[in-house]
Amino acid sequence: MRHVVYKCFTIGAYEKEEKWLNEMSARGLHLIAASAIRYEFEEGVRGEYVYRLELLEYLPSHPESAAYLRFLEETGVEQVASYLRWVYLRRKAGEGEFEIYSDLDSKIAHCKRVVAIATGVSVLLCITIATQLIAAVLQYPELIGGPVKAGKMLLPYLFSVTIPALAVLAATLVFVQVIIIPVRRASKRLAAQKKIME
Amino acid sequence: MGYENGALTEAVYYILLSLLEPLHGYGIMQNAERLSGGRVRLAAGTLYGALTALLERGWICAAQGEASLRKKEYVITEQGRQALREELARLRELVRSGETVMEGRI
Repeated sequence: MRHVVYKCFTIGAYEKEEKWLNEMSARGLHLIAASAIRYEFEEGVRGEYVYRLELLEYLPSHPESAAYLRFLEETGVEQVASYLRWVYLRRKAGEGEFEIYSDLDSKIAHCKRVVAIATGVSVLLCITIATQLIAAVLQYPELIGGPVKAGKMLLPYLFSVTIPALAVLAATLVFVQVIIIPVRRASKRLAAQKKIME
Repeated sequence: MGYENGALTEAVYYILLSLLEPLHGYGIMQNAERLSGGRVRLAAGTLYGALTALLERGWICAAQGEASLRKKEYVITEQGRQALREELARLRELVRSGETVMEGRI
């Protein structure tokens, strides 16, 4: 019997997502496919698998990732799904504790990969915001004290285009930075630990 | 050739110890756990990263042979042995220092 569940996790909440998948597995629902917000589960033995999520350095189809996933397979780890660079991995619970990384350096590097995505998106948003501002100033030089162009109404343009666009962009920027906070915190905590132990 | 007197990571140390005989990834994980009495559990991602770095460094190489066709096997090189010897000497020194200082104090 298959079950499809729609659920949304943000990029900063992959540990929550992992926890949820393991809770589902404990109830006998094992993830077999996932993409963005759609999760497909198959009924099976309760707690048969432990699930982990990993953000790869390259897309799963890249030769480096393919070699890595093959290696994981040799250690009993199965890739059940992937979404962009994220892979959904599982291993039989009977084979013992299942973690992807056992050393601090790799854990920190993984956190940094996740944070880097948020940073990339934020930079794009900042560029778009700057473009909007420049466009507004070019259209309406009086915004920065320049001469008024004849026949152009400033206020309607500002209220109908610039301000809504900037509001949406700024809100997205704040959202992206907020959802990544848990990952940044984890990264800092691990880095502090790294100063006194391996 | 010196090895910068750096400490090896626990993962690297147990990988090198395990690869005195040709062995595949899963075998290394089991060996490290057995040798350490269950304390050292190398996770697959960590193990892969360390193996890749060690291959690049020339301390281990891919093992030739039939078994390696099914699951990729690795084996230590002379450079790797040298690193292991130096690490063992360093660890002995650490234990000596600790014992000298701690003797009778705790």
